[in-house]
Amino acid sequence: MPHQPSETASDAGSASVLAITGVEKTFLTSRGERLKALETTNLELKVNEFVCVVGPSGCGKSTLLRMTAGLESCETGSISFMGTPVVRPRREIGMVFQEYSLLPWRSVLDNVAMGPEFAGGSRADCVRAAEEFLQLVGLSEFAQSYPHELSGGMRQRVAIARALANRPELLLMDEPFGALDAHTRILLQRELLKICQKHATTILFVTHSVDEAVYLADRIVVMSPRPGRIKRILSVDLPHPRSRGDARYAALSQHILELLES
Amino acid sequence: MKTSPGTFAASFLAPLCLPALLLIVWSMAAREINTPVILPAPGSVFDLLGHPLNDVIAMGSLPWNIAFSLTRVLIGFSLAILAGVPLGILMGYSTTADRLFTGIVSLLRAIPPLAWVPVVLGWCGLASLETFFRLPVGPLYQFLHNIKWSMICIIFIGGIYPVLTSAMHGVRQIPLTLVESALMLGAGKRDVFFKVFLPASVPSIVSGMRIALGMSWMCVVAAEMMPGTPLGLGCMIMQAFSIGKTDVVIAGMICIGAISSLMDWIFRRFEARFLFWRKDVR
Repeated sequence: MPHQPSETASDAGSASVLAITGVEKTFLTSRGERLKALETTNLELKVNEFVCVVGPSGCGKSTLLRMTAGLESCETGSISFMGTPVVRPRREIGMVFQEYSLLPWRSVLDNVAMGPEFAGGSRADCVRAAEEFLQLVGLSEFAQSYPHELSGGMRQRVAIARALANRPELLLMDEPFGALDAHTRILLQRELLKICQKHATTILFVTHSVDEAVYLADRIVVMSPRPGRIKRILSVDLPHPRSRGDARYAALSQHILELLES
Repeated sequence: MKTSPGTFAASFLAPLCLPALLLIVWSMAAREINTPVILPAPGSVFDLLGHPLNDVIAMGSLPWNIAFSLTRVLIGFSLAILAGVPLGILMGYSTTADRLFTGIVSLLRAIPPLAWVPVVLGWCGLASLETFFRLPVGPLYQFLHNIKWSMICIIFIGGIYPVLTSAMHGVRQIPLTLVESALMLGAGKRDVFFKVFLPASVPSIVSGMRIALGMSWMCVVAAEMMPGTPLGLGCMIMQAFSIGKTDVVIAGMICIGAISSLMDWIFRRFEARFLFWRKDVR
């Protein structure tokens, strides 16, 4: 692991939720060549930590997230969640996708109730859980609406409520605000932090926006492309709520941008 | 789904413009030609349609003949759905099933339903629904006796491919994220199939059914031109043609058009009522 700064394991009290150890990913191109998407990667997430992975497209950040979700296999290395390897999707790990993840024929309430429903809960329990989390994201009055009646930002809030209603211990977010306009994006970032305060969750968040990472994360994983690898892991010691006008905020953003360009 | 303003003029009058124009041109042409065998006046055709209980060319009333055609269509169409939808979904869902069936389906699909007429006649002969149920002689016997298996077969062949293909594409076009998000929420294989794949493919299946219904009507008319029954709209059209009663031919054609568009309208109502969300799924 030549380029990785030694991670401080000082706060040894907090247990690790996710341990990514020596993971690599190779794809077979259509011409039969082996293409390395991700070089040996190590990463550890502690309880209630918010980690952002930032990098340009093609740096393997989404691949890393999908492997963590159990949607893709890793040939080398291991991904372990609470001490057990992740080989397939599991209930304790939730995921919010960039778009098109709500079932369009289900009402907002029935979308949020999906997790409890798949777990075999009674209708009343499912509805109760769904209502609780809809309230958390401030969409209670839209329970009976359908996804096509909502704006993009509201749909993503529903998707977040749906993931949380399954009570995951780790939440994976794959550029969840990537398809939204700048204004809505900022609103949702603020809201996500609020939700995290009320409902403590460990989050691994993938984005290509440096600003988003600096605004949200406790730690930022900076990746470089072709082949994807971790360039640097930075701790963000700014207190919440962070101000974008803050000098340290700007300096950190600038530093990460330079890292990405070099 | 159309979202144009629902003014009375736009929604009711606009679709009637071209039929009205056609009617005017038709009556002018009929007066000019002045030979009812070539082109009867609209009046004589609408006289037939306006007195539905009258006997038409010694074949019984129009509704009586419509009842036979409609029954044949509904049976053949239903069988096509019962076979086509499950097979299509299976082919879209499972690669193995697709590999197994795709060759035979694409071979058979290219054959026009009417090319099947000789072999179907050879296989089914004059067997009817009555042969199947072995009923005592009575009114129901009379009715079922005229619903020949050969006709149902031809309609089935015409209807199954649109239904099958659309069910298959319906399953295949589902965004992967939809399935993956269900998996991430703890969905098992059954959940993914019944709660994601099946509902997501309904819009495509319904539009396939609409195409299949049109095919069924095309096939019933051709099928009724086969020997074995003296009843049905197709039969009536052929009979009227052979005795030079072109007004009956045209009245029969109008009946077919009207009934199949009425059935299509029912499907459209269904889509508007239950598939309001479908834009989102593409």
